[in-house]
Amino acid sequence: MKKFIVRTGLFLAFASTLLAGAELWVRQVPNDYSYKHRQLLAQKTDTEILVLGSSHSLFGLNPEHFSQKAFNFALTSQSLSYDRYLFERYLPHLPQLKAIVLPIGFFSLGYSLEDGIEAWRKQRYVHYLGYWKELDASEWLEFKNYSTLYHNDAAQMFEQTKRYRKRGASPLTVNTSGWSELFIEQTPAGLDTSGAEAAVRHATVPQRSQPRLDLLAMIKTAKKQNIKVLLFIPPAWESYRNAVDKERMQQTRQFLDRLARQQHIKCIDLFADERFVEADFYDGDHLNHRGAAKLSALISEAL
Amino acid sequence: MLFNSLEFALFLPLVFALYWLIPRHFISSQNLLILCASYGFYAWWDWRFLGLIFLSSTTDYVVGLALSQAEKPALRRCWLALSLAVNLGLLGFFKYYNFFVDSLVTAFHGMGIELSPASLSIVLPVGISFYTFQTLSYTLDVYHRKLNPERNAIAFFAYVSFFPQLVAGPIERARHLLPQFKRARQFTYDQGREGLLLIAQGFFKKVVIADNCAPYVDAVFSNYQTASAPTLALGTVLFGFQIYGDFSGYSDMARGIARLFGMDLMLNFRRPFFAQNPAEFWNRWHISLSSWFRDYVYIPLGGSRHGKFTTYRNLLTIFLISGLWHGAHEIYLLWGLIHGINVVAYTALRNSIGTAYGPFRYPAFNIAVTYVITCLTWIFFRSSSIDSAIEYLSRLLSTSWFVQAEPVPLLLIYAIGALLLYETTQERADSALSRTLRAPFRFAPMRWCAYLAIFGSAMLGGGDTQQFIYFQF
Repeated sequence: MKKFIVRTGLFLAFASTLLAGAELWVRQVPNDYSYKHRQLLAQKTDTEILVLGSSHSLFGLNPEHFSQKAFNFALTSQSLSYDRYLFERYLPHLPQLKAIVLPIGFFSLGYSLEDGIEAWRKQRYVHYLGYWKELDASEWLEFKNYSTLYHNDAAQMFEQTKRYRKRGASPLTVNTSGWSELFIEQTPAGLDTSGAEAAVRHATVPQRSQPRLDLLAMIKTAKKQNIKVLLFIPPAWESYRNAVDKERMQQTRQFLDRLARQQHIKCIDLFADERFVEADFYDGDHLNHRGAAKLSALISEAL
Repeated sequence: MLFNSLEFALFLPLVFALYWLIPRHFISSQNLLILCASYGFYAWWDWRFLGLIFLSSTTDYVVGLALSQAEKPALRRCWLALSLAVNLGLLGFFKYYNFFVDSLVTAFHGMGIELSPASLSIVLPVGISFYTFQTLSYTLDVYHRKLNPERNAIAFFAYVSFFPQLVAGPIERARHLLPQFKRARQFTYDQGREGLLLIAQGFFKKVVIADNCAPYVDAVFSNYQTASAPTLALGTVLFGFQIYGDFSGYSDMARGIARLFGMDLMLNFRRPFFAQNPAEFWNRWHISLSSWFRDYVYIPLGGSRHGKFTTYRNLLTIFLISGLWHGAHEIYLLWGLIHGINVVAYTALRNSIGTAYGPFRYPAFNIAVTYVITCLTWIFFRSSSIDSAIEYLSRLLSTSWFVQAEPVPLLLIYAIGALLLYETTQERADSALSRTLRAPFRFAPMRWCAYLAIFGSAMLGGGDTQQFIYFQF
């Protein structure tokens, strides 16, 4: 028994040390999550507008086109519960904060990050944005919440880390104001195909009550602090608009209208806004640089 | 609590330490610890169903004792009927109630009669098919006087609920496992090492093979209407590896964990991809279930003792029941029927040409044919309905093969290659190739590197954690 325990212990200690070393090694490479955290804290004293939300605002709202100092803390596939978490987490650090901006798309009121292929992103919030405090007791023992390597192709991560160590090549996709500059012009897939595909993908998101509760909680917290809340339905290309479930879209609109009336907040419907033309879109439901400049100016004006 | 979860990684060492801290002649105390750990393990899934295991165990414990005292055949039959009624009644209610009600409604609807029975929202207790068959094997053996009834309640309850194999088998026979709870267990280094190796092997099959196959297979089976023939074929082949990795991986882990407690569980998979004919496939695949049906259904029905027709009827019967065992859905019945026809056809062919293996001279051909047929039947097992399975199959056969298949991740190809190479060395242990491949691992540093590679690939190369497929049965 002694021999078994000693040898097993030695093996596990050695293997775990190797694994932990590899994990720490790849974690030194900056990513959008850690970078946004650092940048927001660096700009905390003068940030007046906080942009939250998913890819629609990550690519679609460029803080440089706002008339007030803004920071974009939107992240790909960020659901309303994570918006709420980030807002509540950073609120005490932002003394000048005057407004928050949130996109509410076709699926936002039902979407949860934990579902589907983007669930791996949760671990990024745990590692880099302090989300571990929010984990349920049942989630504490989930290995996937603690390992970056677990969620990604390990060989690719090692390669990326080597490139970063040797040449300083960074995988960051956002600039200092948090905006992602990736969507420059238009996707090769074309607006028609990408719009129809996105609509099919989004149609699978179920209806839930929790996102609405999160949104309401954010609005209440903001009102207590005299912070304006601006909601907007992001613009979409006709291929996307034609393919989405019209009834569900109408329900989203009705909910937002009611919310705007009851909570005295502003909500702008840009879903079929004619000011956004083909040249403004990257794909069926995301804007490119040109569209982002237009949307940012509109939102800034509305604020 | 999945075997590949962090909570189990804490649970197992704790139970292991407590178990071996108990002096080895305190057998009942060790059994009691196993019983408590097993109930705790099951309660982690859903504590509400603990009562079902307790009820099954109590029934068979009492029936076993009663059978030992009953001499009159009629009385013995009554006791057996009680056990069958309770066990199969629970299984039938939780697993098949809605299926039978729906089938009845459809049948009556076909005759123009509309029925509106109460349909219940029933949650299937995990592992019910496995432990029900396990405990039934005890009663049947006692009834047939092949086994003496167990008087030690703790040993018996521990046998029924032994946590390594409680929720997905192997379905152990009382004759094999129960005596192990009665004798003193001794821990040896070799036994511990063997246990850990089996766990590592199972972990690799489950986490690296099965969990990485799952996304590809899911994508193909959900979009089969638009997928190309090579993609459909690849999806089917990968599902074969997925279900093998998933289920045999679980069985390996179960056997490895049991070994750590000084117990020996039966082999559940013996390299089924090397089978040369359908009958041999079922002697290598889910052996504990196949042999259960052979011993408790096929042989009592007459086996192969009453001519060809009876043999074929009996074969079809056990495959139909086996299909139904897998799930309350007509597609599983069809899947069982196809396998039954396949085995019957092979048996008829074997009887006419008089060969023990496949119809071809070269084993490789036999293996290939058996493999392709098995893969085609997996389409029925994996599809959501009979219609979709037929459509999948027709697209596979009717669309062009001269297009590129959706690419498979490179890591998965390497992992499957490594598994096949390993299994080849096991299957043909005496061949020159096997000896050459095994030679470097005689040196400890090479072995450690291999262990580290398995550990690393299981920790880092796994896909998203998937539930074990057989938990749903």
